Amino acid sequence: MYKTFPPFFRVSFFASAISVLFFVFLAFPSITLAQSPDVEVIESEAQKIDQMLMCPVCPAESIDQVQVEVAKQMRVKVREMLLEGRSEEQILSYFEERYGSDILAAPPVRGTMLLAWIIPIVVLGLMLSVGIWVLYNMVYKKQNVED
Amino acid sequence: MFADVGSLLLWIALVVSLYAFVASITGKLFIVNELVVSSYRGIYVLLILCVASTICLVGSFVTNDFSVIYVAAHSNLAMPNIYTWVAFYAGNEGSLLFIATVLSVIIGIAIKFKGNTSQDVLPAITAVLMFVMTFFLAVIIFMADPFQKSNIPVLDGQGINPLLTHFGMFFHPPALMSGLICCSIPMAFSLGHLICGKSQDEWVDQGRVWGLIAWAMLAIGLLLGSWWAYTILGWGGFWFWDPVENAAFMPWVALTAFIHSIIVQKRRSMFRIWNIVIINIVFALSLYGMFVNRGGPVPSVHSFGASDLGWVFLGFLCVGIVIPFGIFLYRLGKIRSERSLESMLSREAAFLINNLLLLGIAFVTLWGTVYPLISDLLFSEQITIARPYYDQVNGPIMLVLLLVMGIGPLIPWRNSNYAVVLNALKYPLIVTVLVFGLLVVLGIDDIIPLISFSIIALVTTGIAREWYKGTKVMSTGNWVKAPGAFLRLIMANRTRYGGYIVHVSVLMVALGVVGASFYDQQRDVIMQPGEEYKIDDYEIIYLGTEEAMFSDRTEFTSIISVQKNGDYLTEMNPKRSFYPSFNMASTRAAIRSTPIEDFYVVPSENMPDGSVGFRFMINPLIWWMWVAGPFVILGTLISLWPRNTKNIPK
Repeated sequence: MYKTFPPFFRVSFFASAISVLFFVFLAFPSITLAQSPDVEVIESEAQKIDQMLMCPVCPAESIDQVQVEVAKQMRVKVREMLLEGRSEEQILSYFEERYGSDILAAPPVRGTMLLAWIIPIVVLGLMLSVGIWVLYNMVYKKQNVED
Repeated sequence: MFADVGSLLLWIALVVSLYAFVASITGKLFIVNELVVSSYRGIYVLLILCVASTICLVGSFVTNDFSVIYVAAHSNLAMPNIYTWVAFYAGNEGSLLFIATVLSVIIGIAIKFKGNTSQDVLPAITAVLMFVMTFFLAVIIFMADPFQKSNIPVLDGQGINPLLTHFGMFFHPPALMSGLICCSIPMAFSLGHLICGKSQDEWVDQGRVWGLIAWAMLAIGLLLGSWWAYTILGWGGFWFWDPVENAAFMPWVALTAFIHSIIVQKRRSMFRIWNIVIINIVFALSLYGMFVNRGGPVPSVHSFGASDLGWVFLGFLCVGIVIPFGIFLYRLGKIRSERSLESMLSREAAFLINNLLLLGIAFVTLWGTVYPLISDLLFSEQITIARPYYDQVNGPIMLVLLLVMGIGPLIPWRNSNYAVVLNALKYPLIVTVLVFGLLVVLGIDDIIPLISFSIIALVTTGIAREWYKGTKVMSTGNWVKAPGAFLRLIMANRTRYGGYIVHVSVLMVALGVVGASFYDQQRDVIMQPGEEYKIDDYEIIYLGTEEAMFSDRTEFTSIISVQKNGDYLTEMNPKRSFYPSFNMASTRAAIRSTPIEDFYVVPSENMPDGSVGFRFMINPLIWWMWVAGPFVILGTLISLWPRNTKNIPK
């Protein structure tokens, strides 16, 4: 087993640390910028929310994608609510109350709908751990035989 | 005329295919060689029959025989003959005939060029393939007959769906349908060998070749579908995790796992059980794909193909899962891998991790598609699972997969140690850190794109390093000879270097996806003629809209003048057409594409007063996605190209 890292590796760690610092520095002004209510910021926030709401009358499309009347009204409503200072969560739950959970493009993380989120993580975790366990056993058994 | 002949040919084809199925089984069981041989001949006859009946349907279209219901429903007198190719598979009946014909052709090729497949096993493979073939022919004849005639005389047809009149539609549906049905060939080779009790490595070469062919066809089909959505659907996106997209995506992902793990079996005689499991999963997912496309239970924008055929396909899907897995379990005791894994740090182990991640993505996608049904059945809760869900769950897995794609090929086979791997990663890591720093300096401060771009840099440098090293060895240090040496390098280990080329194309797609998903800008604006608008560096002047009447549509072409940073850039002409007979509008975006960013305009609404609702988008890096297509084909072809042992240097 390779105990100490070679010099280039130490250099890369050092360089990454500097880059991360850089990133924190640069990210800072943009964070403060995001807090002021700006038309541009609201519009991009609104577009994000548009993509999270399904169109109630068209199959499998979000309100961002279609030009039917109800989708247009919903888009206007999203922008109005953002201007009133409501959060993304509040807006989504506003629509959920009126149209039901299936208006949301991704199920909310609560109740039985949790299953939609948890099962993939559990299955992936199981697959990876069983896979690695099997590999580990193969290597281990072989080494035992050789000993 | 054409229709009657076509119909008759289909009936004969069904009889022949049933015969070949029965003959191959009885010939094998009672050792009657003549029967077996006649079943092979049946395969070639079948090929001719299916191609001929396809020609008959084309003939019905070209001669505008509107007494045929299918022709009347998908074409009209105004349709140019070139769209016959598209109209052919615009509906269920035609697309099923297309699938059956492709199946008959690839079965013919697979049986003719069977490679080292032994004569003992071939009847079993034939039987499996003829079983699938018979199913499709029976469905066409009894449930979806494209040659069915109506009693009422029809003067003109309804015309082709306007969304389909796009260049991408000439290749996207056929590539996907061919790719999906092509999955049955590697499965048949695996299952045929299992049935005969030959469960070692005999099927690997043919399985790999056909797996690669199916994979490439699906990849091209998916890319073309994205491109079609981007230019015609009018919302500026290219992938929506729509159920039908998913249905083609899942077998492709599983096949990606397969074409990797089969290499381990080819080189090291390991993963024998695993490969059979994966190819069975691939086959099941491809049947599921065809099932969803034929009117399955999930809502989709692809619903124009919908019908109650879905349930027949569901039944066949069950058969397609139960039989291969049943035989597999029955033979399980016989399958043992020749070698065991030597080290956790080996190419073999990396391949397995790659497989698990890929199957993980396939599972998430399947779960997202079926969970709304489960939720409705079990909890009576109506929910939707769409793009944000897949982005959130599959996105991180894909990133990890991308990383594995970078590191895996640098790990040697069998056994390795950290020193070797770290040494191979030295330059890639240095470049990655530099790229990371550069991006930060350039002001990219979102963590996910930063990580993604860094990983892309890592993988790119890793591949570049492999190429550089190999070329250096091949050219023996003389750089004048480098181009020739590079070609010889690729030709010497086609599987590997073809694979690298495909990896490069995956990187291009990743670049496009990350750029367009995180840095796209979008504005919906209603503009009067003469009005100006500014988005980012672009200044747009809307000059006006021209209206043109055609027999099937009214076409509105908007004229837009675009300036960038004060300099005149270009004039753009996005279109929007209204088709009264379909009560449907179809848009055609105007896109100014550069490797850095696309400037995208699409009219989403034409008002009576001449004002137009435009969607303007700036999509960075998306150009790379479409450029990736040719590299996918090139890489796959190199990987598939038969080895010429004479040219291989020591």
